[in-house]
Amino acid sequence: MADFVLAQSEQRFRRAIAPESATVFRRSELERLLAENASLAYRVALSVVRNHPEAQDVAQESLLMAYRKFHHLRDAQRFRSWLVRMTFRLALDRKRSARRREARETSWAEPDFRPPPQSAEELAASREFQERLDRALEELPRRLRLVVILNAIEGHTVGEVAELLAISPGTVKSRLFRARKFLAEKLL
Amino acid sequence: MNCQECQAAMLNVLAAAGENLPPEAALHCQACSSCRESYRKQVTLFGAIDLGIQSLVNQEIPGSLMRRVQVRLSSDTPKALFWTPSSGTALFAAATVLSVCLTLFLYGRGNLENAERPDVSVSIVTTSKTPAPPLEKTATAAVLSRKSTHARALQIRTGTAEPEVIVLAEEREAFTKFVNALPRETNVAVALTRPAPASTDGPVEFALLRISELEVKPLEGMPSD
Repeated sequence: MADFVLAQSEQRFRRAIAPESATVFRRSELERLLAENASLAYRVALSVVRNHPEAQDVAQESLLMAYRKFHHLRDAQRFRSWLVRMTFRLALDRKRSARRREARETSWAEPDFRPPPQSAEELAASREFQERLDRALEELPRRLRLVVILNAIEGHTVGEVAELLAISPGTVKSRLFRARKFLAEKLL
Repeated sequence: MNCQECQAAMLNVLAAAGENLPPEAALHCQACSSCRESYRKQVTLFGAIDLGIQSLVNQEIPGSLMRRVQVRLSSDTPKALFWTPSSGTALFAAATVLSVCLTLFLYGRGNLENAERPDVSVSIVTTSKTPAPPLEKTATAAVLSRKSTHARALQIRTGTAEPEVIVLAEEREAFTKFVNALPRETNVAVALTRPAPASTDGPVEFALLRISELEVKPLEGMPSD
């Protein structure tokens, strides 16, 4: 396989004053970057579409899109953030079309007759709670939802989420607070 | 604090992932059993939300994902091999065409001028106020030739084929550096080597002022020469 060279600038400004700062990526390096972030893309997709095969499709699509559009990325350091946002958007689109499909083929779930849960673990494991949590997450505004998801993925700290989304840690904390409050009010 | 305010305070504390209720709410909870029960429910709820989201997003990654991506990548080639401005592909193309045209124009112009004029060379003759060794009295420091690429861009009008420059011995080194740098500093070179415009100013003569009625006398008491 030919070893293509992808040239990626740091930033336009930096490039203008220091052309030598441009980072050159080989195809193999880009593939390694994609492989490293595949799990993140998959988890973001899964948190939205709630379905393994669909999450796999979305993650695959977003990784391929990242590969094809890598030259549009202005700053290689922002690759993870860029991939996360792209995956999230693709997953939302997929979810929207799936919802339209579901509306056509309404399925009736078995009623849950288990006794009311006592602990957080039991509650989280109950199907009824999971369905309600799904619905509440879907109603959550996009910006809040992405912060909640990234915070939960692989135990990302507030600082890491801030870095991923290129926003301040204070903004992350504020969004997390609003998101958790919103979810609790919906689920109470 | 009433029950409603207490429960709102609980919600805020737990949403901020805090553990301790404000003192007023804590006091209220000690006295109110329904708020205590509500607090317990809310703690359970937030725990379940965190667990639910974590279990949702941290599921096992299927091994087939990267295999599928690799298969697709092997049959795929990125569109652009080099970075280009994302919002200005047309601008980038236009700039490239313009720079190529400019290069061709300058190249052609340089060739034309070189064909019209003879070889340009500069010999540096050094002299010294103080007696110098005979070998150093005349030395060629540098030669600008039309074979040089930089020299081609210069527009030096020279009257003779080999102009001589007289340089003091102590200034010889500096002048050699200047001559070496000359091809790179085309603007300076052109300005310095352009012949001075012919001077139309001649010597000015002023007629003596003569006043016919004026009688000039020596001052009294002053010795006359």
